Amino acid sequence: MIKKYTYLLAPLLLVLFLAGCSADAAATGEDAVGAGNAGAPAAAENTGSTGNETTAIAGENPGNAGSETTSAANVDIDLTELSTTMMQARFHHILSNAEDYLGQTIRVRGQYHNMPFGDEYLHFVMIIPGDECCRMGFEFMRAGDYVYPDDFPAQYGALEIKGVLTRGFDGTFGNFLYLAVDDVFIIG
Amino acid sequence: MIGMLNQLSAYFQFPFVRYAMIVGVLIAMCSSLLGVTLVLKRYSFIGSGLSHVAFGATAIAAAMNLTNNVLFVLPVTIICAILLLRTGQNTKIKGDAAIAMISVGTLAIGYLIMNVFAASANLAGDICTILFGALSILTLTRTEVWLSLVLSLVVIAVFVLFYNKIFSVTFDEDFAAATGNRAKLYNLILAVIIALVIVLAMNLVGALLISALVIFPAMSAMRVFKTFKAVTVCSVIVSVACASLGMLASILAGTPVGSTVVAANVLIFILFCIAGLLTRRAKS
Repeated sequence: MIKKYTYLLAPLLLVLFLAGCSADAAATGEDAVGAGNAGAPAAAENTGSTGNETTAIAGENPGNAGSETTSAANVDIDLTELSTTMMQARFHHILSNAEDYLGQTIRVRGQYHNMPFGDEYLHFVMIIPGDECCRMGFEFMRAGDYVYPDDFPAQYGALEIKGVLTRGFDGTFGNFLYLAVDDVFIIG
Repeated sequence: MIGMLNQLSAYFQFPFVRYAMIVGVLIAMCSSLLGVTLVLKRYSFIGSGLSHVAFGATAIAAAMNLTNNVLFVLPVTIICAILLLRTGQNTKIKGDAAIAMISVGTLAIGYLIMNVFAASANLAGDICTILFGALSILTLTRTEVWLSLVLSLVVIAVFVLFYNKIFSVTFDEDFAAATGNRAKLYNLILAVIIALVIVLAMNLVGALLISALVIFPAMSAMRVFKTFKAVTVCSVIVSVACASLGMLASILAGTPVGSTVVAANVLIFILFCIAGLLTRRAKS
């Protein structure tokens, strides 16, 4: 009987050790209900829409002309340095705990998608894994005189953006998340 | 190598990675413990059958917009486990046919319900995640981690405390009943524990790959060891090692977690087969 409890003690100690190691990081709120994957082009937990509250997106010579990527400076969350699996998990965590990430600068590389919405277009950067099963992405917006399609990549072209996670409101879709982009680089 | 270690160290700063490792190790431990019993009782495919039941229950829970679908999925899976394990006893539909019927039936109904009552914008992604466990283990909330911890402890405790009874029921149920052991009760306990493990394991490898998590560690251990205790201990070690290495490889290489863990199990099985062959040749 003592041996049995000894065998039970070992996994219990393991569980306590592992549980003790799971101290929360700065980003809290893991109890939030997960938003799950965001299908294209629904890029956030609520469908994004430009509506009248946000400015249209466009891109002149986007971002850093002549440089190979967006600037790594002042980036709070750099998704470009993560593996695909980690990027998806981090992305899911951001969507599930959006309140903890609002106002933070996110750098992400993915595939450009757009969707017509009335007279305008909604613009998204999508992260698509190899099996194209679990797509997720951000809607992004950029202030200024940027015109689609001249200042944007071709549909499904590669894109890297850096922007601040912002919550917007639209009369049709209600609250939605988007990246207020200040740096765009068209890769392909 | 140092770069890889630095990268891993950076990844472990994220709480969801630590949660994934904790729960993954516990799931691997629980599934391997049950795997030995299931393989010896020739119930290897019950894991697959019950996982499909869990998938169907998950679909119904999603259609009903339940906040925590485990509260629905777990009881449904337990009921089906009890029904399946009892079908071998004086019933018209025998074990393997019952497993097949329930398995494909619930899979089809679950997929149908998810299509008709689609609750998310990315249905294909959700189904893929549930079936193959591409990302589930990395998206656990703290509540889900604690729930998994508690359920895993229950499974391990039951196995340790009832080890001798499980042993006797596994090898000769009729003899166990004849000698006064309450075989039906322990079969019932086994059914409940199996259902618990299946619902837990869906987070790690998805519904379609659960059987691998149950079968491969036990089969690997049986290539080398011959006693029940040695096979059980080896099975646990193999399962935990494969789950840990599989998860680490997955987050480093960007591969789906479930498939990578199963691939690690397959590789270890091949190595153990070779080891067993060499051991037998050395003895002869």
